[in-house]
Formats: sequence, structure tokens, C-alpha cells
Amino acid sequence: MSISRELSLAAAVLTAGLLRAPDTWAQACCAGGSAVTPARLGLHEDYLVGVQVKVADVPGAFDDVKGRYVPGGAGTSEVDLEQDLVAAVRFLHRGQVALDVPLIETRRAVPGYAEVGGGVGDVNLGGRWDFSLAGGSRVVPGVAALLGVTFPTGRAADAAHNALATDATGIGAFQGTLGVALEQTFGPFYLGVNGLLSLRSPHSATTASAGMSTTTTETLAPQGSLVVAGAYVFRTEAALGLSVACNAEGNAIIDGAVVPNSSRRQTTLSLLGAVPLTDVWRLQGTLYVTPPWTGLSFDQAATLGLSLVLLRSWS
Amino acid sequence: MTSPLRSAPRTVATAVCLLLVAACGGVKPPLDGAVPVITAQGPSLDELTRGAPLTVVVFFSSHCPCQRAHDDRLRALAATYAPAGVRFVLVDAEADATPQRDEVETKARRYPFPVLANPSGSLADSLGAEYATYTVVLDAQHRVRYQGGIDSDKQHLTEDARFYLRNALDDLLAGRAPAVPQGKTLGCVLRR
Repeated sequence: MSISRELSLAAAVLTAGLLRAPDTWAQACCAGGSAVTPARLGLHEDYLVGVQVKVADVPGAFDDVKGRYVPGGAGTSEVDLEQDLVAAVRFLHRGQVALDVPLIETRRAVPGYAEVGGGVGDVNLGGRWDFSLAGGSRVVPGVAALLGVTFPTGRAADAAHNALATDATGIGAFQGTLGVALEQTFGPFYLGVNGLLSLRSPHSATTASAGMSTTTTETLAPQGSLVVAGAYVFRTEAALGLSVACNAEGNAIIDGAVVPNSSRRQTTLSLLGAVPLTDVWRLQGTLYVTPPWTGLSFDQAATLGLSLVLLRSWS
Repeated sequence: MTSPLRSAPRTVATAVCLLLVAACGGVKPPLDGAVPVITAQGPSLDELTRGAPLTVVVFFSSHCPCQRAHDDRLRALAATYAPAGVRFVLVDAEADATPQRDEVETKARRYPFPVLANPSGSLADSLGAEYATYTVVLDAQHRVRYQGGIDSDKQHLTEDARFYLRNALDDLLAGRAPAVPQGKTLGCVLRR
């Protein structure tokens, strides 16, 4: 799973939370979001299922030295599509578990050549336990523990068959995530902060060159994520918000040796919206961008994307 | 003669069974009728329930959409069951509740019943209220006969809604225990 995908997931998750915010103008509570799951149950919901659709353009990238934005060259382009099937279930009143199964398609073009590839991405299982609820106290914010596991069900870039790696759909390793979510409401306003730490398992990568194949063991560095979101919840229960998400990770390790300048960082701004269609159906959307300002992102693709999520819940 | 030591396990088992029965929705023990609802000087449960065979206590939140969605339903229920002597009382147990604010809310929402400020949350604590629209039906002896949501629809009332409170009142007025003594509450978290 790429950092940009994780960030957009986090943004979608926050949007998922926003749909609970409507519950709460006393409950702007429920906006926050388990940054490890794209769907979050509302206050009284027991189950939900949903579909997320995302489309993103990649107009350039950020260099790994000063984080300068570099536009894509003439004739190059990338468009990323993703569809996620999501489901969540509540347990023991305060807990919830969510599953995200992504399907990913990528189109890349370079001068004189273009290709499309895709497949199943890395399946994510996330959990959340709310120790306290936002809005339940003027002093104590909502506090939740987040836990997630991402399974390497997608194809890692080093295992891609296509020339431009458009069939790469995952990171090739297990990823475990721990985090904490803080959120509070102030009348119709919601504020949430999520902090996450992800650890990745080593994975083997085989490369072929000059008729010889070489197998190496790669370990991606731990990744830290911070997501801050604010939203306003209207009396109609629609919600509108902004979020800032920053992911950063250190240098990767290959065969026991640190790879210099392989650290990465990505900062994403998102405009979030949510509309309850009925008591049980809701639509939420996210417009997200990695701002092309020097120093915010390093060694990452620049992304401008839109995601829409349609959810059906049961209480 | 049975020794106290030998009868102790039976006593404990009986107590556990009674607790389980109580926890599973039997008639709850009576509340202390002297519990003040508003302040130490405010009306007590005795005063609020005096003369009524059943008293419906609904926990109120002024800013909760679910509460607002139930305004019409509550007014209709109060009108339906007033001839049977059923009394409705709303309790604002949020930390910022004030009698002035609740008086304004009562008028603005055209409630035919009072909204009582209980900022200390004492009644919410004693009745286990965490969410707005959480409802408790007390009988004349202050026993909890029903607790939970008003109905199964948070915002929009649908044809297949389950009318927990209405059905419980019908059962109780007919001399039966409610078929569903606990319903799910769908309102906002009460800010304490």
C-alpha cells in the first residue's frame, strides 16, 4: 500500500467519521475516524457495509532532497482508480472492527507507451475501542485506541509484471498499526486528532538481471502518521470539514543495510463532506491534494484526488 | 438443622439468580422517591409522579437532531396517553442545563409537558441515562417498568418502525409487563 493510498484512506476515514458528526450536533462526536479503517460505525450503529470509489491524478512528484515539486514530463501521466468494499461490525458496545478490500487500477503513460494494470490491493482489518465519547464531557475528550493489520494480498512493486508497474497494488509486507484518536465537539464544531505508528514485516524481493535472479530482503521503516481534522455540522446533519494528514517514514533496510535517502514523507490536505441520505444511508466525499509546496512531501508522488463513499448501516 | 456454612452457597446462588433476573429486564426495584430532580430544593420524584399511574421520563438534549426529530412523536404520545393519566416529564441532564434555557425550549417546541433542568445529572445517574431520548417509564411505586428508546427510528419515522414506548405503555395500562422492557436508544451523547 503506497503512502498516498494510506493518506487518502485516512482522509476517507475521517470523512467516515464526519458522517457520525451529524448525529451529534450533540454528536459532532462521531466524526473523528479510525485512521486504519475507511468506515466507522456511528454512535448506535451495529453494522455497516459500503462502497468507496476513488479517482486520482498524479501530475508530478516531490524530490527526495528538498521536497521540491517536480511536474511530470511531457507525455507522462498517471491516473489511479480504486474501489473499496468496506464493512464494519460492533462488539461489546465500545468496540468496532472494520474490513476494507480494495481493488486498484492504474494507468501510466510515458512518451510512446502507455499501460493499464491493477488487481486486488492490500486487505486491511482495523479495530477501534472508544474509552470515552466525544461530546460526553466538557472536559474529557473522546479517546479511542486504534489497531490495524494490513495483509499483503496485493502485488508489491518489485513483483510487478508490467513495464511501468501498473499492476503493483500493495507493499508486499504485513503492516501492523497502533494508534490513538482524540476528538471533541464544541457545539456544532468537531475537532479530531489521530496519531498512528505502523510497523512493516520484512519481505523478499526477487529481481532478474542479465539472466540472473537476485533475492533480497527488504524492510520498510516504521511509519508515523498524524491526522488533524475539523468540521462543522449543519442542522441538516450535513457536515463540511478540512483535514491535514502527514505520513513519514525513515530509510528502508535491504539485506541488513540502511538505504540512504529512501525516507519518505507526504502531506495531504483534504476537504471533507458528508450527507445523510436517510437514517441508514449516507454519502461522504473527500477532495484531497498533496500541496505542491517545497518541504511538505519528500520522495512521493503528488496527488489530486476525489473519493466518494456510500454506506448502508444497521442499528 | 442446616448449618449457616452449608446454606451459604444456596443463599449466594439465590442472590445471584435474583440479580440475573433483575439484570435481564424484570421489574426494577423502586427508586428513592425523595430524589430531587432539579436541585436539592427542586421537585422530587414523589412530587413529579404523584397521582399518575405511569410517569414517562425522557432525557432531553437541546441540540440533538434525534431529539428534535422526536418532538412531534412525543407530543402525540403525551396527547394519546393523557386521558389514561400518564404523565410526561423531560429532563435536561446536560452539564449546561439551566431552567431558563429549558423554559425557552419548552415553549419553542410547544411541549405540553415540562423540561426540567438537572445539570448535576443525578437523575440520569440513578436511571442509567447516557443518551438523549433515553426514556424510562415509572409506575406509581417508582419502579422502572420500561427503559430505552422511544422508537426504532432516529430521524425519519418509517412504516416498519418499532414503537417501543407506545407498546410498553399499552402493555402496562392493560396490566401486563411490557413485551419489550428495553429498547435501543438512538439519541446523542448527553454532555456531562
